[in-house]
Amino acid sequence: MSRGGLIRAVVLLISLLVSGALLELGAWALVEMGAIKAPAPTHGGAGFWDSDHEVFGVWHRPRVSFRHVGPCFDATYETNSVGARDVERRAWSAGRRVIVLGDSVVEGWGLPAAKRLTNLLEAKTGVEHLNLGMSHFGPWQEYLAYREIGKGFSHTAVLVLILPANDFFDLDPELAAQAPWYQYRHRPYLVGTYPDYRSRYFKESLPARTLRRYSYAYNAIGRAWAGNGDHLWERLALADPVLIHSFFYDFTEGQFDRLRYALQKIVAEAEGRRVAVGLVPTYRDLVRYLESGESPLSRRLADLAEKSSFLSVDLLALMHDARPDWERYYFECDQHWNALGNEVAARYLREALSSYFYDRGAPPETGTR
Amino acid sequence: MTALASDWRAAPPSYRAALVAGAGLLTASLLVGFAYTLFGGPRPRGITADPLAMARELLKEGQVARAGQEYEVAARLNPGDFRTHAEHARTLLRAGRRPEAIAAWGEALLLDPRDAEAWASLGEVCLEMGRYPQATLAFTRALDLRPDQAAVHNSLGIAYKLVGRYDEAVREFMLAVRVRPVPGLVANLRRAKADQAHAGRPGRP
Repeated sequence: MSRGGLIRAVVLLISLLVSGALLELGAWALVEMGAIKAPAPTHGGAGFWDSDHEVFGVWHRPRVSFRHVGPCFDATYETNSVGARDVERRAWSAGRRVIVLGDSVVEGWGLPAAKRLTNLLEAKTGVEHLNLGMSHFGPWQEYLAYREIGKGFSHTAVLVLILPANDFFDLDPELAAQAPWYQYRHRPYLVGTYPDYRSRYFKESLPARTLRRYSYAYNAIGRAWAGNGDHLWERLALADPVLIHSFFYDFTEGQFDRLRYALQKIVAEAEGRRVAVGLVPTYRDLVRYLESGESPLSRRLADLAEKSSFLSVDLLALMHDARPDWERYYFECDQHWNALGNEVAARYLREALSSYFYDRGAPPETGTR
Repeated sequence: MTALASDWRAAPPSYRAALVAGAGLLTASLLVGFAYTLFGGPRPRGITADPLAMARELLKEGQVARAGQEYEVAARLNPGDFRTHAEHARTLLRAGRRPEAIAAWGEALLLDPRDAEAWASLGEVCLEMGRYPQATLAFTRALDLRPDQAAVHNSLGIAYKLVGRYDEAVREFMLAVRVRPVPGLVANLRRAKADQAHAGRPGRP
């Protein structure tokens, strides 16, 4: 290369670097000021939620403390040695114990541990409730967490809480493929048709992951390109011209099949221990219940429970009928249960499970681990 | 820079003085203008103020009755201006002159029958006056033009409920909560469903 060509190449490189740096600087300022709604890079993923977990896709880092501040809550989360948001538990216990699986609702989003469902159940029943709840989990990840972590602890029963508002979404690889704005979509999915599924991990390419972790500009441009998913929800909302959209009512056979399969795998993995599955409503679901009455999902889950030997608990109907001001169950700033929501749900679950889990439930596990 | 400085030094003193004076005057007038805008009192309205501007000014000062009078003059002077009639109608409503407000909305809608907000506002006045069939028509027209207005679905639901058309009321409240699922609208839906059940209607679809 001639000397002139070399100089031109160097100048081009420098100008590209400077442009890139300016773009990054501008994106940093806009994201941090809140002018652009895009996730900030995690700089290697040192956060509370590890979004590169090799088995589940996302899991907590073990033995960390994290202060979660939202627009209407401020709570500190602490994880134990297996990465669960729970106190340290012994591997073996002579008494009855319940493993609780679920997503952010079980994890206790926005609340101190003492006010969440599992702690309330434990305090009222005296039975240990091992919380394996994880934000962003779907039922398939819950099964994997049970198999990989839960089975390492002696227990007599398993409680699974399903949040239809996003669990069908979390199970659906086609929806995930259309949701580049959702940073926790890289995880295992069920691919195939019932009952011949195989678990396929939807991996993010290394360059994309690196840029997502370290670059404001990449995240900002990615969000601008993909939008915030409104188009997806709008499409779902058009399922009926009058009624409000709710996954208790508006789900496809394929989505239900995946849920069915994940629950049946949990029941099989429980190896004869008692399993109960609760359906958790959001505010929209309660509104839809007012409009449409008993939900097809509740009916289908009850049928499945009968065939697959587990107990189904429909919190939709129970929480709808408990009081008219359902908005009081939820945080003002998002769709998660607040302390009251957890309290009401714990009361109904305890009633529903009293003879199944607590009073005359399966005998305590024997043997040593 | 050096060339500019040497040019400046070489220029005749009168030229330099004129340049400095001009720049000084410009700066001073700018400063005075800013100061007047920031700290000066209300701008004089002038002898022949535009009635529309006058009405808006009076409305800002909270003089609703006088603003209404000015809007009336403005509407006479600008009979083909939709905005003048619409503002007039809103002011009349604020002044509690509902029948005149209905007439003013009518004038506005003759000029632009595709304004959804005007139809919705007309519906609200009719609803307040107990003219339910007219209110129903106006809200329906507003929703034909813009179907995604939760507040208008809610008002139409109220209008239907008040004339005992519970099925239609429930449907409108459902459409309202579908757009905006907030407790106030949900409470209306709940009450309408109770009325529907009380009236012996089948209820849930």
